[in-house]
Amino acid sequence: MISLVPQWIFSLLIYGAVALAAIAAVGLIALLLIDRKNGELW
Amino acid sequence: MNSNTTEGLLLDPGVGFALLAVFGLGWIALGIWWGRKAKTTEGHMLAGRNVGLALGTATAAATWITSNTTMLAPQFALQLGIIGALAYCTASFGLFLFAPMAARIRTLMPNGFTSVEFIRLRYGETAYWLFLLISIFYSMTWLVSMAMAGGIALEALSGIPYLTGMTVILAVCVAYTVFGGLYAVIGTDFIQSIIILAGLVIVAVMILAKEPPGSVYERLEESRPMLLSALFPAALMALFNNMLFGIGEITHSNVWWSRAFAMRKGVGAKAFLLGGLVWLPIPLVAGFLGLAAPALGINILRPDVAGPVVAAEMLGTLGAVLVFIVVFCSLASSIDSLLAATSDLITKDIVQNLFMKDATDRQLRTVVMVVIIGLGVVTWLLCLGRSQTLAEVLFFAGPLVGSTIWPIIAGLYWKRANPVGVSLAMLMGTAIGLFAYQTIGWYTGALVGTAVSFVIVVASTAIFPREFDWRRLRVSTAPKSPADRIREEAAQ
Repeated sequence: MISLVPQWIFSLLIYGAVALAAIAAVGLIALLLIDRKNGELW
Repeated sequence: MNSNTTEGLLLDPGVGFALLAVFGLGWIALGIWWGRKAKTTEGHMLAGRNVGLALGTATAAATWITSNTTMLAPQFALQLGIIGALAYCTASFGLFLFAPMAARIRTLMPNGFTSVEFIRLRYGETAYWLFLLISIFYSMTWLVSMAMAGGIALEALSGIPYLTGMTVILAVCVAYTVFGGLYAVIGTDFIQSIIILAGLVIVAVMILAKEPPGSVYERLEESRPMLLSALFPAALMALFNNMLFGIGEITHSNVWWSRAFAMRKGVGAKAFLLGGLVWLPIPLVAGFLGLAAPALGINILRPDVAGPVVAAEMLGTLGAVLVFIVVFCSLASSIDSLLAATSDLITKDIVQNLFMKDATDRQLRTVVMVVIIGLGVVTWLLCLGRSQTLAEVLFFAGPLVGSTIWPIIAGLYWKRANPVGVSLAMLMGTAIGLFAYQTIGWYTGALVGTAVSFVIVVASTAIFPREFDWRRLRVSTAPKSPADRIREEAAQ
């Protein structure tokens, strides 16, 4: 008998990962704009 | 859905060449543009030691998003199931662990250049040679595995011959790294990380719109239940191996040390922490493509191109174009970093340390550029044959990398770490780890190498402690005064 990952955890992992990746992209752009505004890009 | 996809082309070769040309020329133009900021060798190597949080975070994430992330994660998921995809995510722990280390490195060696330089000053000549060999071997393994992955991926996607695709990717990366140094590497890393994240999210959302996770789960439950197993033994072993591999790679590699030196004071810890968070979901998003393959009845003949095949099969030309761009950016973001960091290491720790101690800034700058081009040529030659799978090439270096974790950590934080014990730890960890790799399985190499190295470092430090004065690191790497430089220039 195989112990399976529950379906809700499987769905949560997939949706969660996609959402986190989307937030990361937007967050990076926001950080860039803040650094640029403060003259701290490099 | 049951087409024999890898036999046919997923993208028209003309489109593939056009994408290569547009992105390749774009990166080179940006490299030349940013390269104008690099006035000195230090500027070229470390981007002026003033990189901010946004670019620091992006470069930490983008460099860690290799083509192996986007190509191997679907393979992991296809062969080891959902736990295999999660196992890949644990490689992000390396970035989290490196966050405090980056701050420590910047404090101990504010004017340092490379990880090998640290080992030489901290532990002496024997450890220096061992660590140098491991670093060079690993850098070349990583470079070769990515250049090979690039050639394979472009061929599978668009029919661009392996040799042509691999050559173009390498040539583009070499060109913009030579022109722009770390400025170009970090600048392009930002753009590449946004493209990779956006591309993967778009592909995943489009697939999810057609096949939600619940549907994929139900089909896997019927056809391949092992892929949903919570206790898949090989996947659990891969989990520990991948975590240790990630930690080992990031603690030892000059790719990460050069970023710690390049970031502005106070930025390193935050940038690596955020970089880890940015990277964390990517193997799972890419891994979903691998899990979708058996669930959707897509026939995968070669697991190492499972991701692109599923994207193209599900989304047609748009999917293939997006994956092509993501893979190209993943490759470039890591190959450029490796070229820059490895050339720093060869220039500073081999050429300058052994042969040109009194080299001027201009001479060193020339050496850096020649070394970058040389690395590109050597990588190209090693990639001419493609005999091993991506996983084998990558994980062969696991024991070597694992054996350096504790020497580095002890060197940064333990005042009494024993230099002889550290050298022995790297030697025995590598040897026994490689033995395990050959006799037990590839996924045990890093685990065994790390464990052996840990025992030797701890035991030698406890039994034969050797006091070290941290100030030696700062003093030995202090920049020369302007008067010294003028004297040297005049003498030559």
